[in-house]
Amino acid sequence: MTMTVFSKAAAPSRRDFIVSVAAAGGGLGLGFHLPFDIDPAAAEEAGAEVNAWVVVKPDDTCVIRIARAEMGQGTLTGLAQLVAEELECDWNKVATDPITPGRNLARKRVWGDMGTGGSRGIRGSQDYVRRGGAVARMMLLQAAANEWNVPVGELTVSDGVLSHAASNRTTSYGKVAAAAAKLQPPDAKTIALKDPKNWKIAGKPLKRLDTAPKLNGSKVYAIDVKLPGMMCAAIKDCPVFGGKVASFDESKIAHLPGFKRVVKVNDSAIAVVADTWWHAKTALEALPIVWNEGDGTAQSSATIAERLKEGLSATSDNGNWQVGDAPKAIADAAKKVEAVYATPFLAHATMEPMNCTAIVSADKAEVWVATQNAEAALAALSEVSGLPLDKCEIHRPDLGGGFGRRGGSQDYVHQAVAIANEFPGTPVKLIWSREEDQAHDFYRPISQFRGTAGLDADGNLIGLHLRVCGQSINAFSNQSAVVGGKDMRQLQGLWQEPDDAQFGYTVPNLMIDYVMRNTHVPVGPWRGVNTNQNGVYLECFMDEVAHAAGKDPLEFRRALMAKHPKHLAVLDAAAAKAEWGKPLPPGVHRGIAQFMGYGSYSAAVAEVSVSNQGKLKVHRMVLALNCGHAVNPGQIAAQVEGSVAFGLTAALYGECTVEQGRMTKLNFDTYEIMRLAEMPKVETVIVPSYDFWGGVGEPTICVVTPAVLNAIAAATGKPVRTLPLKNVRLV
Amino acid sequence: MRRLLGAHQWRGDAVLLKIVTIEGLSPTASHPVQLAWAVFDVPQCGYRQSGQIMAAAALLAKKPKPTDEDIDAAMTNICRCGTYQRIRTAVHMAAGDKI
Repeated sequence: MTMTVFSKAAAPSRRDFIVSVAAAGGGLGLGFHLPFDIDPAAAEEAGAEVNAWVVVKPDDTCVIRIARAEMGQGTLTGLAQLVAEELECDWNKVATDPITPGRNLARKRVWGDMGTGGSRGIRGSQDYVRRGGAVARMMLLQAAANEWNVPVGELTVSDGVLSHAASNRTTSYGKVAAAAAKLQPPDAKTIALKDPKNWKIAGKPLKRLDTAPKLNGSKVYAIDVKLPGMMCAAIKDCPVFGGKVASFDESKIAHLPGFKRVVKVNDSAIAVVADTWWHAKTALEALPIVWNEGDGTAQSSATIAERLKEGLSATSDNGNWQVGDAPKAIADAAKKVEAVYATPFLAHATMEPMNCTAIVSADKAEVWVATQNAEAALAALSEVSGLPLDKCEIHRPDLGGGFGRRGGSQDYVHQAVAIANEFPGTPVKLIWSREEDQAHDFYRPISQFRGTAGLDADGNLIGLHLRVCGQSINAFSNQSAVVGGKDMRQLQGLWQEPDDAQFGYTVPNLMIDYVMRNTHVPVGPWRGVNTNQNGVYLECFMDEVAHAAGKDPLEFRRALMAKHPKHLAVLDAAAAKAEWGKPLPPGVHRGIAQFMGYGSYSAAVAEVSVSNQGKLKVHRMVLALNCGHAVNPGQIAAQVEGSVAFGLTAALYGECTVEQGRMTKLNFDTYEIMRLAEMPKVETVIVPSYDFWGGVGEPTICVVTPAVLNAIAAATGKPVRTLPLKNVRLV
Repeated sequence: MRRLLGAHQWRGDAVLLKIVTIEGLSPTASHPVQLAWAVFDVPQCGYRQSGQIMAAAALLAKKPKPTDEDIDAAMTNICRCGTYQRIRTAVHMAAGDKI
C-alpha cells in the first residue's frame, strides 16, 4: 500500500488497526475481541474440544491452548511443542489459542497459572501441559479403537494419523475428535510421559509459530487497539515519587482541539481525555498542574549513594549466611583484597510503552492490555470497575516487551479503568508517553557492594566476605516476604541452597550478607532481577582476587568449584568454546564469569579491546547455558543473544539518575539503548544435562557484564567498579 | 518510514511524498528482507520489526551489497529484545551474500 501526502500540514495518516479475528496467532482469534457472551468453543468452526488443552478441527488442525504470556521469549512456541510432542499430532497443523483469564475463571482455572515471569513459563508448566497433550492423545486413540472395535493397544499414531496394522485401517485426528471429546479422560497423573531422549517435536529448533504477522505489519499490539467511539487519554503522575496533585486549571485547555475532560485518576495522577491521543497529550502538556511534591524532593542520586555507602559498614544486616569465620580468616590472612562496587537504578524501557484500553458498562467490563499477569489485570479491572470477576474480561495481545515491568503492579490497568469509569459504555485508550514511562517505572533497585578477601601465602582463597547494600524489592511490594527484617531475595545468586540461584564456590570461611537501605524510588523485578548486580559484584571481585593471587581467572575459579559440578561444567564449556588461553590478536583481551539463576547455570567469556583513547569495543561473547532440558534450542540461542544486548546495554549506558526526587533521564537521548553497530558476535553453547528444568529468559544476562568488565580490566590493568561504562574513564 | 522520507525536502507549504509502509513492501510478504527475516526467525516481541525491516529494505534499495559497516551505519533502529545478530545475518541473506 502506498499513500500520497499532499500537505505537510495534514496530520500523518495512520494505519487502521482494527482488532480482527485474523490477527491472533493461528488465524482463529479465539478469546480476542469476541463478545464474551458467545462460547468460544462454539465459535471454533466445528472443532471438538478433546480436553481443555487440545481442540481438533475436522481438517486435523490441532488448536493448543496457551495460558502464559508471549513477550518475545518464545514461550508460546515452546509450550505448543511440549503439548504437540505428547499429542503426536502433525506439527504443521498446529495452531494456538491464547486463553483469557475470564475463560480460565469460568472453567475453575483449568489452565492453571497465567502469570509469566521468573523464567518459569516452560519449567513451571511443562509437566501439566505435557500431560494435557498425552491425555488428548489417549482419548483420540480410544475413540479410534472404539470406532474399529479393536483393543486400543493395537493402534499406533504418528503425526495425527491413527493406524491399526492388523486390519490395515487408518484414520486421522480430525475424524475421531468429536467422539474422543465425549470420552472419560484417563487420570493425567498416572500417565508415563515420553523420555526427552525420544522427543521429535520438543527439543528441536523448530520455527516459531508466531513470526508471520510480525513481518508484514499485521500484528496487533494492545497499543494498536481501535474500537468504535473510542476516546484517548494521556496521563501524568507526580514527577516526584510520593508527591500528590495539589491543583490543576482545566479552563486553560478546554478550548483545545478534541478536548473532552480532565480526570483526576488518583491522588497523584491527572489524565486528559480527548478524541485522539495526540490531542490528549498536547492538552495535557498545556494543562497547568500544581504538584505537592513532598519530601522526596530532598532525595538525589548523591544522597542515595551516601546512604548506601554508610550501609556498607553497618554492624547489623538484613540477612546472611556463613561458613566458618570469614572476618577472622581475612584479618589473619597473608594478603587481603578489598573493593567497593556500585550499580545504578535501571529502567525496563519496553518498546511498547505502558498502555491499556478499557470499556466499563453497567453489566460488563473489558480491557485490552499487554500484561505478564492477565489474572492480576482481571482482579484490577474488577476492583476498579466495581463489577464482579465473572462480568470482566481481559484481552491480552502479545507484549511489545515485558522484562518484568508488566508482571507485578498492573498500575496502567488501574488508571485506565478509573478513567473509563467516567465514560460509561465508551472505550478509553490510555497510553503513557515515553517520558511518563521512563519517569514512572518500578526500577531495578540501586545497590553497592563491598568484597573483602583473604589469601594465604600460596594465593589460595581462605576467607571471603561479600556484602551487598541496597534497596529491597520485597520491602517495596511484598512486605510479607520480609520476616524479622530479613530479606534474602536481594542476595539472589549468592544463596547457600541448591536448585535455584546457588553460590557456586566453596570457601572455608565465607560470609555473605545483605544490608537493606530503601529509598523513595519504586522498585521491582527487572529481567534477571538481583542476579544482574550480584553477578557483577561476585564475578568482578573474584577476578580482582585472582589477580591479587597471581592466578589465571579461570583456574582460580575452577579450584573452588569441585563441589559445584554444574557451575563448573558451564564455565568449562564457555572457556573451551572461547579457547581460553589461546593467544588473541594484539589489543584483544578476555574476561570470564559464571553465575546461577532461575535454576540454570550460565557462564560467559568476553573478548574486548580498549583503544588508547579509552574507547571500548566488544568483539565476541561466548555464552554457555545449562537449563536442564532444552525445548527449542533455536529459541534458547535467540534468548541468549538477546540477553547479551540486554546486559551490554545496561553496562554501557544504563543509569536512572535522581535529582530533586525525580528521574531525569526520560527518553532515549539520555537513557541510551545499544544499537546494532555495538553488538558483538555471540556464540551460544547449550549444555543440557536433562536432569532438571531450568529457566531460559533471564539466566544468561547476569554473566555478560562481569565478563566484559573483567576483559576490560585485563586490557587496562584497572578494575571497573561502577556502572555504566559511559561514566568511566577506561584509560 | 523515515528512511524514505529522508530523501525528500520540504518545499513551501505543500510537498508530494511517496511513502511506503511495511504493508506496501510486498503484497505476499515475499520481499527478500521479509523472507530472510522468516528464515532466521528474527523477531522476538516483534514490536520494532516493521521499522527494522523497512530500514533494511531502504538500505538494500540504496546499496544492494552492503558491507557490515554499511549495515552498522544504516540499521540504527533500537531493538530492546536484542535481535541485532539475526538482523545482520538476515540483511546479508537478503543481499544474496553467502551466510
